Amino acid sequence: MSIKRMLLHKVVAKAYEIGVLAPSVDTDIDDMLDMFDIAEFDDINNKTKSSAANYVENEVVNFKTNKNMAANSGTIVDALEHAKEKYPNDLEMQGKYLLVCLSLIRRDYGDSVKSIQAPYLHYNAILTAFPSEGMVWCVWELYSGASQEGVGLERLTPNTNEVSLLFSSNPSITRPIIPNLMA
Amino acid sequence: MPHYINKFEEAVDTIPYSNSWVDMANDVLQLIFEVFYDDCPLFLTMQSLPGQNGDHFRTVVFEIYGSMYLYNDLVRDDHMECSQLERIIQIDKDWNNVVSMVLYSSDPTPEPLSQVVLNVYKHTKTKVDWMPSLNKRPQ
Repeated sequence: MSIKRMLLHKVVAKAYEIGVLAPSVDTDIDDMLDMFDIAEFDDINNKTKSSAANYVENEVVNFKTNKNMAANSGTIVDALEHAKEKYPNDLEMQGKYLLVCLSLIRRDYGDSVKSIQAPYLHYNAILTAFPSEGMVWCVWELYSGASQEGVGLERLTPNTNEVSLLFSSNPSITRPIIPNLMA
Repeated sequence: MPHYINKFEEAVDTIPYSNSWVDMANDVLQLIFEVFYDDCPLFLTMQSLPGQNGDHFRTVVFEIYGSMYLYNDLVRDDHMECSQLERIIQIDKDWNNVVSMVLYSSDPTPEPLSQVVLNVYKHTKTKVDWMPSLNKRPQ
């Protein structure tokens, strides 16, 4: 393993340790670092191992105060848009971003985040819902055995009971699945 | 091609099929205790006291790669009756409202057991710590 790569591992490990990242998806380490908007890997390469930890802590502070987030960051939809820009043709990677974002929401607003498990078609569906901006947002994950077959985001508007599918990493799911699950 | 959320789940799902579910359960245990143990920041082993019918649970609750898992054996007279591995999707600090997903089970039609198992530990005196030897086949 190169020194650069080793330091990158240290950076992400520190982020896990202090809870800024929840490694619930097996995301490539470089992709994880994109979350911190670290554009210049050489910056890290020039630092010693101990200062790499300090570097991360500064990044964490920036992350928490949104200094490092793009101007349109703030909601799960914004995170999704960010992922679409980063990986325009990679639905799986966009889905992973969505799950990382969900982990952060669960960490910060755990009491408001609820999950259920339900069968959907031949899948095992995990639905995680949380309220925000007067609407209910639902992230679904579809599993066949242990294999993840798709991730999606839906928005429910309580007043009108309107459900919109905002994202699906599974090309065969093109309509909201929540109405079927609630039926 | 299957997609897994981490390499632990991939390892569990790709355990070679065996006609003996005990052998497969042993393979799962081996992965937990020997292959992935060092990557677990949380690792808790529990064993319940035998009930009137001689049944008791042996349970491992562990965290790996940011997800929490529960492995459970139902043991009767030193013989394993069934085993199951679940990923815990949601749990509160009192071990209530548990939502989990079955990843491996010796039962062909498994239901998530995490809530039931954790309730046993909440309401009964438990013995903590067990280290597995290979499980014995049911007679």
